[in-house]
Amino acid sequence: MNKPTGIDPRGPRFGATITAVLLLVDVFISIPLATAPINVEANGYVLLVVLSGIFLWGAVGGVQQSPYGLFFAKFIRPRLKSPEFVESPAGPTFSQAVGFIVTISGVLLYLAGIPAAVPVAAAFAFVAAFLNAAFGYCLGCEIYLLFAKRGITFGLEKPGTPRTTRVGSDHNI
Amino acid sequence: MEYGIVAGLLVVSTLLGLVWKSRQGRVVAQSGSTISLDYREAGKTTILQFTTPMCGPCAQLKPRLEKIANFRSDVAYRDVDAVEHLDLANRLSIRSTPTTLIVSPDGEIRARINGIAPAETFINAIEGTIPARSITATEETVI
Repeated sequence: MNKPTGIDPRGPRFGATITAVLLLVDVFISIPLATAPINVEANGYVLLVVLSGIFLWGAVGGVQQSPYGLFFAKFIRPRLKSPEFVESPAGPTFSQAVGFIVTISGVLLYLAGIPAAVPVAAAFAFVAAFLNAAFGYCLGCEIYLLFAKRGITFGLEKPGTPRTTRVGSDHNI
Repeated sequence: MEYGIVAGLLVVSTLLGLVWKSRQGRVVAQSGSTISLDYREAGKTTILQFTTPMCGPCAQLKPRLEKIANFRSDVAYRDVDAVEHLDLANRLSIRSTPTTLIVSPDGEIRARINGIAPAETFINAIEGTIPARSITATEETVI
């Protein structure tokens, strides 16, 4: 994960909108794959591989370095007013990582001989991207604590993002 | 068949979004639980916001809550990273962020607000004018 700095929250939502559209297209074109022999040249499979790669790009480089993030920063952000607030890129980057896990699972399961994995994985990823794009749903807000409670904090225990202003002592809890 | 599945996916996703949205800013009245002075200011009603490093909306909500505290001498604002204070988050059943607690001057947790809400929602919760859809929890828990 990259160093947390403030980003325009409209950027990730722009990326989520494009992602949702592409995933919906992928669901549409990959439905016939569910009942067909495995074909690694099928459009639905190839698109899911590409989307998986884009998710990985965003997860490793940070959401602002993803293709949509770069496009937003170069062509859209300069035309907009300043945002009312900025947010840490950690949340949207976490969402990219979750998107990668879901889509790469579909890719690998397809290669393993489960043809329905492509449309199913695309559908799950679509739901998350659509909720983010249309409703501002924050995947990291909803599920990150579930991971943290199991000791998985993605190296962000003390990341320097909006922090505790007053620290309590655990022995007093 | 493809059109039907895609349309169904859109409908289900929209319904999920509407349900999620309707739960945002819901005020849940509480009583019987108290919280230690480490997480509140003595003699003031405290707005206690739980955040995580992954929570973008927390940054949106924070200035709104700070503003309420700045305008009222009887209200203080504190935020707590739920990951750094997992034990506290577990005891208070904090499952997502932002989750905000309204703590009375004597340390009793009076209300819980999940997600983003207008400032009026928090002010009403502070004043005790909680909307009718609220649920009252009565378990006796001392944090």
